[in-house]
Amino acid sequence: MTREIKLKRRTLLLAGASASLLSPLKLMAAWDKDGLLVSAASDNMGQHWALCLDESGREISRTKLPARAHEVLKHPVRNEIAIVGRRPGRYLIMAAINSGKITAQLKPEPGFHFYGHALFTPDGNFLITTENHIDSGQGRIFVREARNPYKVIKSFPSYGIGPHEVKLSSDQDTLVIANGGIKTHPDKGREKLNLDTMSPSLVYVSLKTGELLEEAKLDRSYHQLSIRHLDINRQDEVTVGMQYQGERTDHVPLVASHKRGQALSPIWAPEQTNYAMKHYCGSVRYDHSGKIAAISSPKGNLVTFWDIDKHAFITSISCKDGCGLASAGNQAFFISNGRGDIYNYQVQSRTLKQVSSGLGCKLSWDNHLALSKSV
Amino acid sequence: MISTCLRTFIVLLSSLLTSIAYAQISEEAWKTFNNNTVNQFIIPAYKALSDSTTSLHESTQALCQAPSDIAIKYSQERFHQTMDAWQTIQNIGFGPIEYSMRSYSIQFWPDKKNHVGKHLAKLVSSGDQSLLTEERFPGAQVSVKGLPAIERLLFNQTALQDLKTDQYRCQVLTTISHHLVSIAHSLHSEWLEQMKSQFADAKQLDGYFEDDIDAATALLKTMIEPLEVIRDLKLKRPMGSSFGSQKYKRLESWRSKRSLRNIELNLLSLQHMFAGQNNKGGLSDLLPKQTFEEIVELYASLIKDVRQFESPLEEAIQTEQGYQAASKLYNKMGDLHTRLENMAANAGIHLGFNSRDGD
Repeated sequence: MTREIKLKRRTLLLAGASASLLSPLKLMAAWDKDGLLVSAASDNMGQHWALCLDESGREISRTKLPARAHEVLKHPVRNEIAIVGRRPGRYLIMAAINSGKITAQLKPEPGFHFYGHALFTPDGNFLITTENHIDSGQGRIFVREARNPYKVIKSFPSYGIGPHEVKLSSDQDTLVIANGGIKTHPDKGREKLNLDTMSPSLVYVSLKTGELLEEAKLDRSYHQLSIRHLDINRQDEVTVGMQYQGERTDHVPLVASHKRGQALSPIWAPEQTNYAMKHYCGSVRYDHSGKIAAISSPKGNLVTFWDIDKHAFITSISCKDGCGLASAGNQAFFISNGRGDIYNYQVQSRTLKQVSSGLGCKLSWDNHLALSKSV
Repeated sequence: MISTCLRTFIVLLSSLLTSIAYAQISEEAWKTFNNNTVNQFIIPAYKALSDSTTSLHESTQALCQAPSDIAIKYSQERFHQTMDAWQTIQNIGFGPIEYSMRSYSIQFWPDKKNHVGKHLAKLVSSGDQSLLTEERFPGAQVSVKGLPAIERLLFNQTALQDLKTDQYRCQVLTTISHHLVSIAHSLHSEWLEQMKSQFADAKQLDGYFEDDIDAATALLKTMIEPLEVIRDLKLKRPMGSSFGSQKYKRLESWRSKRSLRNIELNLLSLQHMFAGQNNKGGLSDLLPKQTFEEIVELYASLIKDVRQFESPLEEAIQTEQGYQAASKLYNKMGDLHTRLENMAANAGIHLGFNSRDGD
């Protein structure tokens, strides 16, 4: 209780201090090509948006969306963002950063839907998406040319059910895919159809050949731990955040790390923190150094921090409805929440600073936040 | 940005004209609701839990000093009284209950993997006095520290005989009940000494909440979200996918045959938070009259259905008729849950966004 109240005081003091800067009539920021924050959001009228902000939280542009989105990511070279529709996603929209104008609108191939995540190759030439083959429920990876008309140039299996987040290893050929393991069908909404038999995996697949290079799974007793979100650092160490589909009383790990050729290895939070995470991780991001990972647990109003080198839990902070995470430097993270706030948290000094709040119209930041540096 | 706000304003205006949202509820009105709920419902309910655990503990001490039929029956009654109090306040999931896994300590459930059984058996067979000291017992397995463990010790068919012949077993019982007293006492005193003032002045700088609406949101979440949990965990899971696949041992508190009573008490307390006493208080002054009355009616009908079961749920779901009645209950809870979610949205309360996501 004490810890939470102290943290809250800091938050409120800062919120009060910055309130005058947050008038809805403030002028739009021009993007100074420094840090760019992007995220999907929904407003209190049920409209869905993708927003571009500068690093100080000022709005650059927003794009209206036909339905709720999940991940938003910047094109590595062009001043454009890709906005991926939330599962079962029916759209992937490209929009200009400075104007918010839509530059391209992609649909999944017939018989497929997007899973909410995508990736550009670092040269900006290709767009990679995780998708569901609706009839079979098998996951598939699509590679498109990242320019109009975004032609599909190849596709291959994700080697599992429910591929969610995808990243690329440092060799720029190996895709790392989190196969959540949960089968869904758009006709049944978001209902989970295979909880008894689910078998999530972390797989490494060659972008060039589509071949399965390695598959990592947790012990069979943890088969209901859905591997959904991941991040990878420059040393190709992968951290995953999981969601548990079993009993609310079960004490199971929610975070694990992996390196090629080794076992997928759970990292435990102290029991009390572990329960407080409510069996749910919403987002995983490394800091700039790649040594510290942040994991958000919005159902528990908690963000936890992990030392990946030492394979250990560091600390946690309470953040109501907090989910979106992005690196804000070494041992520093941006955190966004469903109440329209963005914070900056410094792990070493344990300080939390509010970056922006609400942006005039009441916004809920969606699951993922991303920071890109200049083109 | 300006045009976006303007557009949003127009949408807001048109939605008001089509009367989707209710009239603006003032922060002051929420504040009154919050304070009333805390003072008239939450704090008295934690007080009842604290008092009942004290009686339970005293009864287990008496039972262990002189084990008899009467003494064990008395302890069983005190167990029921404590479980009644816990079921009444079980929906409160924020504040002091969140610390030190107190909720799991009071009631570790569901327990598909039989943690309570295994760890309790291990503890009882250890005979190790040092595990029961005030210093060490709080560090014991969370599953053996609460009501399900006491239920096993008191409602087992050979309970009295076992307690008579095994003094250590009885000491385990009194240690658990003593631990419950300390948790319940802390919950009550922390609400009284710390949480109450957070609602009285929700905007205070070192506060738990941002403002009165934030505080009201926390309360509304505890009024609405538990319905889904009750429906899915306490009914759906034991019922299985269809008649024939029901498993009565998945019912909450099946050993003491009180799973239906738990559900009834849960619903009564949610109804109480919603409607106040005698439909005065609660949200009665905040919601449009028709909405308020419709929801009150839904609660009344649901509680009536619960009371119409002629046998304990443990037996009822084994018959086709009882199974159907339970299915009806399940569906009605879903309807009420949807109704309450819409009510909150129309009242301008945002129950959560990412926290209610599943991606």
